[in-house]
Amino acid sequence: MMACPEFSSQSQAKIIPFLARFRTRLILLVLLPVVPALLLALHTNFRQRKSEKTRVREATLAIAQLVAANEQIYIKNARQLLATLAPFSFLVDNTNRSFTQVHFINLRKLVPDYLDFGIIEPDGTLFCSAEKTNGTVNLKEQSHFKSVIQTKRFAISEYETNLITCQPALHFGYPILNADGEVKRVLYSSLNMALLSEAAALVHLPPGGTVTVFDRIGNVVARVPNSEDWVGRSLRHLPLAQATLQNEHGVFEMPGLDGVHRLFSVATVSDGYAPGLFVSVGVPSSSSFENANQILIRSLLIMTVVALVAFISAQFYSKHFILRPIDAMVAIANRLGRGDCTTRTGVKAGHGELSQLASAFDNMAATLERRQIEIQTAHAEIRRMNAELEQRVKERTAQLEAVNKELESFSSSVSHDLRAPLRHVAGFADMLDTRAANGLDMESKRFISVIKQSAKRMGCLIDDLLAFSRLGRQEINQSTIESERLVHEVIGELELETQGRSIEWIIGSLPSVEADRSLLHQVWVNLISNAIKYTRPRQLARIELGSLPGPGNHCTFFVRDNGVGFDMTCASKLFGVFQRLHGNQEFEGTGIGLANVRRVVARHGGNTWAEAEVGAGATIYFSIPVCDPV
Amino acid sequence: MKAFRNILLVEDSEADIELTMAALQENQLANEVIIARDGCEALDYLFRRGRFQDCADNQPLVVLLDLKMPKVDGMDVLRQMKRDPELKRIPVVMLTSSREEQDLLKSYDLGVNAYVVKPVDFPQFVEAVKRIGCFWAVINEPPPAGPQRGI
Repeated sequence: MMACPEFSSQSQAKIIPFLARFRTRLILLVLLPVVPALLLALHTNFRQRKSEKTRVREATLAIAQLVAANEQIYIKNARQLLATLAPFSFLVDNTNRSFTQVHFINLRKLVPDYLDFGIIEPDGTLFCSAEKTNGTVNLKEQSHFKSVIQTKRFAISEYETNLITCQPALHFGYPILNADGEVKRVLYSSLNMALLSEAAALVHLPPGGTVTVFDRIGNVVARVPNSEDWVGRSLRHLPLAQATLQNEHGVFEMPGLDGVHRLFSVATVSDGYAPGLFVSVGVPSSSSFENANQILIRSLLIMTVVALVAFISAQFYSKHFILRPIDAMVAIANRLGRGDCTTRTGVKAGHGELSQLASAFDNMAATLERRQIEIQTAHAEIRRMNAELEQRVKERTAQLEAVNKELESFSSSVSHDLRAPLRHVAGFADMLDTRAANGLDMESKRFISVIKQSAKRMGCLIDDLLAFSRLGRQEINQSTIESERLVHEVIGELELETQGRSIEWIIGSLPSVEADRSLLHQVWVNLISNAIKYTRPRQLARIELGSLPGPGNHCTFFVRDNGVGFDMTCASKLFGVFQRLHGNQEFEGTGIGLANVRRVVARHGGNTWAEAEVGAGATIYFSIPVCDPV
Repeated sequence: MKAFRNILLVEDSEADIELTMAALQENQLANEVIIARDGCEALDYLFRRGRFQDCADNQPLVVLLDLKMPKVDGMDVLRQMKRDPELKRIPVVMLTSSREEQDLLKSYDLGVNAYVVKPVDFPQFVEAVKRIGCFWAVINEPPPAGPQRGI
């Protein structure tokens, strides 16, 4: 595979926070509907508990009333029995104690529910009882006696111990009245208290249910279950007893005697006038909500199963249908980021959004790969063209070098091969002149002189041409040149030419420049010697050297003279090779000087130009880049 | 002793030989001028090879060497002379038409003792040759003659 340029990529998989993970979110989304179901279940449970409570309350109340009815039978029976006996004056008014006692004993045998029967005198002393007594027994403190004396009606005692039988019993008292309505005696019966518990036990109680029967002052007279533990105990100060005595037909909820939380219903047993006993039936709160709780538990279980199934399906679905393609795409994106464009998701084409995304990814990767190949091809093309260009440059350089070599050999030939025959012409002409001096006429001698002069001139021309050619090839070694100093040097060097002349030198300020010293020296020599030469006809020559700023970073130098000047129409020819504006007889020279000046200045990046007027002098200008004033 | 030693003129052009000889004669030097017409001949003479095998073992006082010659050119002659432990002591004067910088540099690099550009003007040429003859044959003290190895 082609190497890709490395992109900087954060391709390392980041740790995604738990809540930001797609799977977590999907699972939360799936589990969301379970929440209302849960709330509904709890609400239903609450409602059920409430209705259950009502139902249980009603049920316990019914039980309490049933128990009360059972107990009532005993009381009713006792009343009827005593009421039946009371009119029998032979029995109740009899003073024969033993006679009465015999009847009472027989009666006890007939009705074994009762422990005792007896008659009490109005002062409280026992007249006689079924049970035998030792000595006088006073019963005036007994509650049923006191109640009968006070109300002159049937009365039920509180929990009491029978003073004669010494057994716990519930006593019933009944008044025997004289003609005036006064109580003359009190007839009583003692009911076996255990019977009350038995009667209570007849009722079907729900599991954990209790029945407690209190007397008027909070003593337990019957209890189911565990009657033996509770009967006879005074619970007057306990909340249960107080609540029972106060809520005659009410329902309340509190911890029972055994500490278990119960729902209590209270019913009363009347003696015919007032409540004589209080029946309290308790059912454990837990049992009352059992049904509702069971339904709740079932609902919760179902919901848990549903949630579990949803969780597992979400997990499975997200992994196989969503996360796998996404992971594949993330991996692809990372690989693309690292520059591997051949990579593909491998997700099969489908109609789903993810399939379309994956397919779009693959398309993108394919496009990137194509682009990469195009770029690589372009790079290869550029490299090839560069190589070609380099090759061409090499070839051209070689050609240039060859041309340069040729030029060198050309100038070498010019310098040697052209000069040698010229020298021979001059040399032999001279020898001829010497040898045949006397045999030649004047005209022949002039011819020989012309030959010699021409040869000499041609030698000069060749030398100048070579020098000019050298100026074009010579390497430029730039350095900072103090122009004023250079100019003074040049004037000094040209002393020979100025001897016997009166020349006024005007030298202005000349800035330093960056240039090749020897070449610039040549320029000044040429220009100053020209000025000296062309002012020769002047009595007082005036030569001015100066400078002007510009153009740009250049400095323009000028050499002005008051010499013969020239016609400005010929100015274009002035800087040409071997171009002369004056005759050789007038001013010597080959006409190479200004051509040399122009070539040197041009090689330094400057310009040359001239201003003149015939007979009034000439000014030659040249510009050279100034050195930076650092 | 000086009088016996000759001057070797290496020059291919007959005209130049004639002009040079004319100039040298103006000096009225007693030294014999030996002429070699190309570099090959000059080397044969200096190394006593070929037809110069039997010549006296007497090396020239000075060699006047033209630069541009057929076969072996002046530069090659100079190079071989200066490479030879004995011949390198013989003064060599380039007498040439070329003022080319390359030629000048190369000659001096190879150890030429003088470089004279032949002037086109004949009187100047005569003057130049006269001075050369005078200097090397009279003024200059040559290295001791004979095969003497360096120290």
